[in-house]
Amino acid sequence: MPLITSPIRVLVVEDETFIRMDVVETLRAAGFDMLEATNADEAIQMLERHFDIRLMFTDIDMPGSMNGLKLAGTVSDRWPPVRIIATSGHFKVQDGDLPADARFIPKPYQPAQIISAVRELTGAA
Amino acid sequence: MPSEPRAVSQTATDSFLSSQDELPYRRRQQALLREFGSAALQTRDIRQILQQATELSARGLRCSYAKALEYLPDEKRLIVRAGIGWPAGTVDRVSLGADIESPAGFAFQTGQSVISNHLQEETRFRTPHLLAEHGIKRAINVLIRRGGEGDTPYGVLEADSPDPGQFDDADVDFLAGFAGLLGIAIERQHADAKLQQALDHEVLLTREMSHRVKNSLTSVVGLLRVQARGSESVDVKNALENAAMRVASIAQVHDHLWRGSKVGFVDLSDFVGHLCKNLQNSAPEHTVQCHSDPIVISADKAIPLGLLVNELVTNAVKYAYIDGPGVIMVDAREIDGHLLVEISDEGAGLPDGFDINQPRNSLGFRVIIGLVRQLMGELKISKNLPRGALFTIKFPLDPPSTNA
Repeated sequence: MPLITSPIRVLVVEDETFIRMDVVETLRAAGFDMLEATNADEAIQMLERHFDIRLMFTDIDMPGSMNGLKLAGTVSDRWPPVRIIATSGHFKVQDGDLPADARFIPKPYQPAQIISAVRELTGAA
Repeated sequence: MPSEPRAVSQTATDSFLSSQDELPYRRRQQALLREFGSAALQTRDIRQILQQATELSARGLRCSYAKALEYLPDEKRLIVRAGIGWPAGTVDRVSLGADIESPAGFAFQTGQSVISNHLQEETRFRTPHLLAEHGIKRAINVLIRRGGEGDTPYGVLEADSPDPGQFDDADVDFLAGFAGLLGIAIERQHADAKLQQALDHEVLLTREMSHRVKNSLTSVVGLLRVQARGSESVDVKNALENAAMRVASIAQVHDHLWRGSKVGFVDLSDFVGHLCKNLQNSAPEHTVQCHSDPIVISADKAIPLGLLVNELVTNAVKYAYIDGPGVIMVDAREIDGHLLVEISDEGAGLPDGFDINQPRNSLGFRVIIGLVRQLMGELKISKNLPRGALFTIKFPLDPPSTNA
């Protein structure tokens, strides 16, 4: 019997609807299993419910109780195995803003950039 | 308890000047006041103006000490902001009580000018330490009002002398003339600061707006990509993807606009570099090389230019290299007030007799022609040596603005 591996689960956190849809669909088309949240609180709930999330792709500039930097810090503390990519069209991220192993991609980004970064960090060939 | 203050109270008989000395003395005062008036117009440095006021008024009153005091509302004290005769470390450090029982405080609180010709025997006021330490015998204090209505006065201008003699009403008028000019200078500085604040705010708003425009356009790009993906038809898909790319290139100009140091302008080499990096990301099989002179251009020029580079590079990506990867070059140089932009490849080259106006249904070329016209520029299409196509765009840059 062939070994069936389930697709890698990725969480996208982005408040802008069209941008979120674009990223989610780009990654879904690349073979990932997608979950989406529109703010940090929703993202935390998703992570509490789904233990198989391997990577979180989050915007930094978001309304709500936490911005993406704070969210990244929290996720890195509570779910250390979850890999993190943060993006922003505003911030110039400096050392120490993000957890050490998190990746930063400035906006605007190309779909191909996102796919290759997610593949690299999740070890998906 | 101070006696009833007689603010300015000199009789002609008290005057130490004989009438034959009086005229040259007053003329000299007039000349000094005039000198101060023109000097105060030369600079907007309030500290320097205060300093000149103390120096010139001391000369006019033949006294060796003078100071300008600013009222500090939180501490209710008058601090020395400029002066002559006082030891180093007095300015910005020594302050006097602003209560009505010191001569300066009285002038400040009541707005009346005060002559004290016998400070040691003064019953109206207590003598501040600073004056006692320097053996000051007589003093004039006049209020420095701010121009404009309703504001607390700035402080007090004071002339002091350790020598015996008398100050009189005409001396007070002389010193009050300085104080009046100081009030105008202070108000002018206040107005300057307010104007600067308004200008800073405007810059902030402009940047904020560019940032919002960029965010909205980025949202539109997302929408177009989502729609492209959702489309069954290849033509529709391509059209929507092309639209997404064009909007993305406009969004990029706004991204550079809010980051740039000069409002409404972008740094061309940053902008072109960024644009090429994005084009490279969307065409990883080819190599996009880019060079640009480090100049700033207005958003009005940068938006069509960005779109042009986007069209021509995308065109080369699609058509120049049929069987394999290749190099696409973007080069932007300033020549005699014009920007010369060359986009070249080393691919198959354009067919013989190629006429950009001919394939009238090609949106890409219609866009290119329209953008070149918008830039009031020229487009030249030629063979690249040794092979490939070369597109040259030349358009006039804005004359450098004078209000940098």
